[in-house]
Amino acid sequence: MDIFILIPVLLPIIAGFSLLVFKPNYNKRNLIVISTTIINLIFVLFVVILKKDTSFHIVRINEFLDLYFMPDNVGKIFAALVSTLWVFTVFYAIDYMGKNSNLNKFFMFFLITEGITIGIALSGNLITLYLFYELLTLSTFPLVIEKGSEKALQAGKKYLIYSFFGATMVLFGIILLFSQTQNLSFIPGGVIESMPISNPEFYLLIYLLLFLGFGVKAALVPFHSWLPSAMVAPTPVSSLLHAVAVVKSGIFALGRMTYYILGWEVIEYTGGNDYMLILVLITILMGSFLAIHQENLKKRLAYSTISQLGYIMLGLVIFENSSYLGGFLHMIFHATIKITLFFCVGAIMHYENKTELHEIEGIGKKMPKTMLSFTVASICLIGIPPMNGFVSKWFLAIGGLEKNNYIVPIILLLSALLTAAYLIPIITTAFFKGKPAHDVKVSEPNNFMLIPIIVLAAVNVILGFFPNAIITMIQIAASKLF
Amino acid sequence: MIELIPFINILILIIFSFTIIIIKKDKIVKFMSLISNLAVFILSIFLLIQVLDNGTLLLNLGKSSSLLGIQFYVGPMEAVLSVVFTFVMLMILWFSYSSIENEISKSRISFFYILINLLLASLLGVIYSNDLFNSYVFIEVSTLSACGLIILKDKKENIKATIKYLIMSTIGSGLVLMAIAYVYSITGHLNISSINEVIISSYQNHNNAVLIILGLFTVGLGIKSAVFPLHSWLPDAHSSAPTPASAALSALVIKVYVFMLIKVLFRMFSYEIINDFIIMDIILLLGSMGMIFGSIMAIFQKELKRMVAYSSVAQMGYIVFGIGLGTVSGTAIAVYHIIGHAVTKSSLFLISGLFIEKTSSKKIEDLKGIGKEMPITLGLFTIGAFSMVGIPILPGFISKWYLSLTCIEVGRVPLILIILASSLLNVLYYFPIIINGYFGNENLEGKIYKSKKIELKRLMPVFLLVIAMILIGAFSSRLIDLF
Amino acid sequence: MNRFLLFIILFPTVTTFISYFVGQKNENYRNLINIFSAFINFIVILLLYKYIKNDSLTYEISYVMGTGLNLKLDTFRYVFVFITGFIWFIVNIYSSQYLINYIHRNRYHFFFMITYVSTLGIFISENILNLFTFFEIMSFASYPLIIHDEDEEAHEAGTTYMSMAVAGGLILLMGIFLTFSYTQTLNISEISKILPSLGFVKYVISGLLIIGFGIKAGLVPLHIWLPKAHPAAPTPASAVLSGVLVKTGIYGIMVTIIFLMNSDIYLSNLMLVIGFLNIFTGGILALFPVNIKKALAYSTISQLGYIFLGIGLIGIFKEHGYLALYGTIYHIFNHAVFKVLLFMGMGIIYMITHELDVNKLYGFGRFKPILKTTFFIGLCAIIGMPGFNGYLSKTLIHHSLSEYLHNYGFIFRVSLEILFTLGSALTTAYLLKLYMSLFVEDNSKYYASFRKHINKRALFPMVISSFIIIYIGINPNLFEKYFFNIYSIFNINYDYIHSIKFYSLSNIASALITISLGILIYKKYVLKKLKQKGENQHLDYIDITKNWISLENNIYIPVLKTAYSILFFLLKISDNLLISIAKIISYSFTYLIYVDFDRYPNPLEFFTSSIHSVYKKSKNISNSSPVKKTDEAKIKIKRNFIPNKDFQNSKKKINEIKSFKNSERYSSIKKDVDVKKHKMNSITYSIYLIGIVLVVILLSLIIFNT
Repeated sequence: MDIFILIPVLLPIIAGFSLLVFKPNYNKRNLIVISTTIINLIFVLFVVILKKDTSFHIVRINEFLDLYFMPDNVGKIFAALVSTLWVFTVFYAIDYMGKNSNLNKFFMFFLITEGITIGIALSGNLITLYLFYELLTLSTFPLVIEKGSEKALQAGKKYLIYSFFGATMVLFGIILLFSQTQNLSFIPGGVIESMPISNPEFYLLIYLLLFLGFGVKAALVPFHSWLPSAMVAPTPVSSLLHAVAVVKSGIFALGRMTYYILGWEVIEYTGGNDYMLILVLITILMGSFLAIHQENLKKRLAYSTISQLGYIMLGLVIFENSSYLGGFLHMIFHATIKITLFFCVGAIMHYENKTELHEIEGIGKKMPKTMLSFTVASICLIGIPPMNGFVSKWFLAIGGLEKNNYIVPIILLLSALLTAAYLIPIITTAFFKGKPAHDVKVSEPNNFMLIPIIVLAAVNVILGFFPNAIITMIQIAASKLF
Repeated sequence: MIELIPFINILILIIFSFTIIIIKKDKIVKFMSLISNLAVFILSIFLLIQVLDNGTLLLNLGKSSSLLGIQFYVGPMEAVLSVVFTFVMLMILWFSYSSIENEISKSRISFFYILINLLLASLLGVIYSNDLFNSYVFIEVSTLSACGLIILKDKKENIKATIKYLIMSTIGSGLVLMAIAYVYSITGHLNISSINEVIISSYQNHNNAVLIILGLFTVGLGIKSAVFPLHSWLPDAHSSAPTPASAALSALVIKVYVFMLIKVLFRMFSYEIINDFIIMDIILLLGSMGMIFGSIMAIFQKELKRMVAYSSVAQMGYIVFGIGLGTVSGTAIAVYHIIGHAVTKSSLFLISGLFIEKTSSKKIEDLKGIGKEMPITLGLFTIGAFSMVGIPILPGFISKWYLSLTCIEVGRVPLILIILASSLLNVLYYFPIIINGYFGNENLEGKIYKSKKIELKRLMPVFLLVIAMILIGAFSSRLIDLF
Repeated sequence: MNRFLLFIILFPTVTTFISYFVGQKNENYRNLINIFSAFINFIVILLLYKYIKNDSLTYEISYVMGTGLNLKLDTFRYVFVFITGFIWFIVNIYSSQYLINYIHRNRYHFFFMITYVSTLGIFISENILNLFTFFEIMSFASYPLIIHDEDEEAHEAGTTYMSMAVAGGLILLMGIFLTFSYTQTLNISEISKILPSLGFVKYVISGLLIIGFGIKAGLVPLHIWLPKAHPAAPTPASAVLSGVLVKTGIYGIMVTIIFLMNSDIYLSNLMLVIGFLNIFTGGILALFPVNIKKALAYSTISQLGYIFLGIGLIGIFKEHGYLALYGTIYHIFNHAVFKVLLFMGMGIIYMITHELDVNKLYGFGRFKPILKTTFFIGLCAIIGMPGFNGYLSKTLIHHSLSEYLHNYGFIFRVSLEILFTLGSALTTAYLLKLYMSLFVEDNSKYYASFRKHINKRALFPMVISSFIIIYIGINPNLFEKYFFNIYSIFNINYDYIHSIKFYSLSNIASALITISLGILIYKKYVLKKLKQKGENQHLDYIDITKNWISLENNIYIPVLKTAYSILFFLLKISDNLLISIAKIISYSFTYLIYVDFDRYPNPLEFFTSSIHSVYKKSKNISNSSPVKKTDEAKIKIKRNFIPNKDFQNSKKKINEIKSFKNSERYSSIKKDVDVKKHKMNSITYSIYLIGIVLVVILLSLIIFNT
């Protein structure tokens, strides 16, 4: 019965390769892709609901290369998030990528990436996670350079180099850690039994290596610059990249490392999180500041992602119950919000092919539903109550204050202000400029594209009003830690 | 009977190689060599089982006490190595049947197989034999047959490369011979185990002699196994030789000499003695330099085969590094890496041979878009490259991991950085080929899908090699526990 | 019954959405629905009165927004709710008429109603976080109202409003964060138990809260959005803006100072000062503008001054603060009524003429009796003419002020009295300016024209509100009668309460004095100084504030700009830190590799060449020594390297340059390396190498081991 846990990981990968083998035509391919993701969602939910968090060993090569899955609450939530958003993205992508049938390769990697991301979510120890982490880099790379242009290849190269650099740092950290504690499995509160530890500076080194290493994927300053340049990818990809697959895997890995491997007591003892806090704060500010200066909408969103990831990472460097809660909530909420924003921008790109801010004057009168969803999502991102963005920021700020750290809420609010400064102009330009409404002809995107957008926007609002279900679920996980 | 297997192995190979001379028809030649290798392979498997069941196997031909009494020592290491080597050689042969005609003139094909058999025989000899003199003889034989393999396709560059190789390795074997003589002069033995006893008892007396012996062995075998600063012959030789030959050369031949070095260092001398001397640090230094500079040079190469050759310089670096750590585990990993790399590098060489054959160009930039023309082949190449880069489960990763752990064990944490750096460098020269092969519009345009695909029976050996590689990765812990 | 609290929020919301979709089909139905729903809501609010007459209603939903929804309605809140309900009802009627020839009517009505809902929400939410929520919704929902015209001016005003609103909201949020982290609760009543007992931090918190609310409340110097937003917005919007929306800020400040801070003495005094500041700034600035709505906006600021004053006094008197409270609440109500009335009057004028410039509109209303009278009533109310509602509240505030001044020295007392009178006088002055020029002056352009345009549905609300003004004016104790319970909420003990005679001689006298003073100012200053011959021989008003220092352009924006640019610079560095470092390194390396150097620095040759050059110099011919040459080469290379950073490109260029020079003479690292490489590959070299390695190893062995 435990074998069930393998299905969510394997099914998409197998389906992906089947695309390569059978070379289906347009309709068949869509059928396969859609059905795969939906079935996978069902399986994931099945796992989430039914599985107790018991470990399931895939293969045990030796004492460290011991690959096994262990879905605890955190992993379950992440897996559910990933598989849900993937369904939306599939519909969107099918419309976005258009009719040409030589996209089998694209969709193959698209599906494989889902499997791997879920693998990251469910993996039960650091080495399994690391394995999937590396694979993630490899499987997303073709998606990034899907356009195949020189620019795309450059961006892809950048992405690869950054990722492998990070992965190498991580590996170094893992090796050092393993030499200390012959154990890499995720245990709430960390694998290090003996507190106070004898050699803090060694653990500090490990912590810094791991944090910076995973931080590369989490777009931590100064390792962030692959993210804006990866914008050359087609929108479904970049939305996934930003919303769920890549950056969130980085964040997730960081969370695992912080709370389930080293354990926050140890880190606090070594004092490593203070250094990281500085980086994180810089990340938040820098992202939102530079976003204001991007004329290109996707670039704007990219930089905003950087700053938002900073928010999430706050929950990983400030060891407070509510920070953890806030960070985790923001991981989920930012996923749903940012994917909506990207979908909207992508829709504009695809149907109007407008990419710059000044071009979209009055677009809101042309595609009102789309831009309305965009507005909702941006209000969420700014964190205006009662939207979901506010809930997570609330907990983050409170967590910061509980540590008597006043700079955190201030930075949060400042960056919220900046967020407003780079998102509201888009809305105003879209809605309140250009020709008056009655002489603009309404032309919304195709339903495949529109419905995901609207549904996701609605989800954001609903999550904002009734987050308690998720909050309780995270609290259960948090109760094991604090 | 079963304990004679080592001897029988070598005998079979040699006999077949000499009978092949008489035969004219290539088909039969191929068949016979195949038979012989297959037999040897099966026998070595038996041998391995035997060794695993009831321990190390000592085989004396003639009186062990007498000078030239041949003694074979087959421990688990030797057994495993012989299995792997015979397996790889078998695959190479299989591969060669379909491709050898394209590279060397018809008249020389039988000669090729003779040499291959001879080579394998001598390699096994070096692995098995437990006394210095026989080892020396086998080394010489192997060197000569290797030279023969390189020069088979008589182009100018081959001849140059061969001469170079010949000179170098002669110097090397000269040094080795000196060393052997030295050893004999102080211990009066040629049998490694008995030398060991003597040396343990009385190595303080002639300290400098020991030092010189160590130096000579290191340098001599170092030249032959292309340890970093002494590698200058390798790229020419390996890149110019016919593909199966170069696969054999850089997968097996150079490894054997390193194994010889291991035997000398840790069996003739012993860990506790060795670790008193600075030689270990020197070897470690050479290893690290090899890991870094080998990769760096590989990055700058324009030709595919040269690049792969340089990468094997870097990989030798890993092995030597493992030896240089001077612990049992270090040695174990070195041997493990020998095995892993033997499989990986042979497959890589064979594949690059296929590329060159199809694109009829040695240059790397002509491989752009190859992934569309021969996707499966490049896929296999990719797996090999992943192993080199160190993606988990594949052998490359495992040896890196254990090396790093051993570094921490001996308290040399900074050395891990070198390992990681070299693996990053591997990324830099393997991935561009894959990326340009599979992706990029202007790379892919005008390329027809599977236009140059290889029929499966030609790819089969490579497949098997790759599978073997994955298995070696998967059962790494078992293997390493053996050593 | 408590459910009705939820009802008065949800019901309009629902109808709003309905009306939005209806509105896409049919305008009239939409208007009907909106008016109807506003009406129903107003009725419900009226019905609620009997429940809150003696106690309060509360309603709670725990599972919303993670922190729960917590509503409460008591007498104090009821006043605001009542105002909101009433004003929106009448303005709805008005705007349905006003907007007839506007675009995007649907959007306007939608956001108008959303603003309504959120305003109600602010007033009835007990949980401070809910309050904040509704506050933010209101800010955002009122933005589309302000920029409705979508022209330059509107967008500029909108930007100012938006940025201030968002900033204010965030400051408020910071305050709330701190409040929560110190008191661990969000309910206003519970916070007020803990907060006053805190140390200095309570001032930080309350300061943040006051600033946050103050921005909405047009508290000087945070008022700058008001005079920009009012003229830009369509009139009904600006009517509710200054009628009700500013009151949300007032409400917030009242809650903060009186309840949360338990009427802290320092803050109360601060409010006194701010009150005077507002009265004067607003009053003076209201004299100058030629834009009629702008004038009204400033007047709003000055009227709010009275309310701040009142709040200050409530805080100071604590349980004695009966008069102050009475006056403040009363003025809040009254101001809402008459200011809306005035705005609607202006609105009608604008609706017909599409013109806000007093110099073009003069004499417009001369022959439009209803408009004239209603506007006049509004004027009387605002200047505090006895018999109109404004008079009552101002009198009350004046009373409590003088009561407060009782125990101060003569000078201080008198000066403050004078200040107060002067402030109120200014009101008279600027309104007279508007009234005279609009309704009294003679202008042939508007003779009897346009009367038909002024239709009933627009006038009706004005009439209603003027009736209310007068009604309250003639029986002043209404408030006493209905809202008596409010005193207990402010725990003012009853024995201090004594009914006051509004129409006592002294009060009327003081009011009349104020007004006459105002008229004096009008005659002596406004007519003399501010009038000037314009075109067509008419005396135009001039706005002399044009070149005065403006808070926004001369202080706020520059400060922010500098701060911004500094931060931006720093962060830009951190953005491409890694990349730039990598680039720099690689370029420097390429440069080093390709830089040429003289291979044989042969002293003799150098010597001879220099001799040669000297010899040439003596013949005045320019020389060319090898050193010079290399310099040229270097320069060339520099030119080729530093500007275009592209490696390949530079390589090509270098080769070109090389071809110029005799190549064995000059060398570069690159060249040498290539040569070396080639040699390395040769056999001899490798043998050397082996030898070297061997020797080195042996030596090192022997050296280090002995």
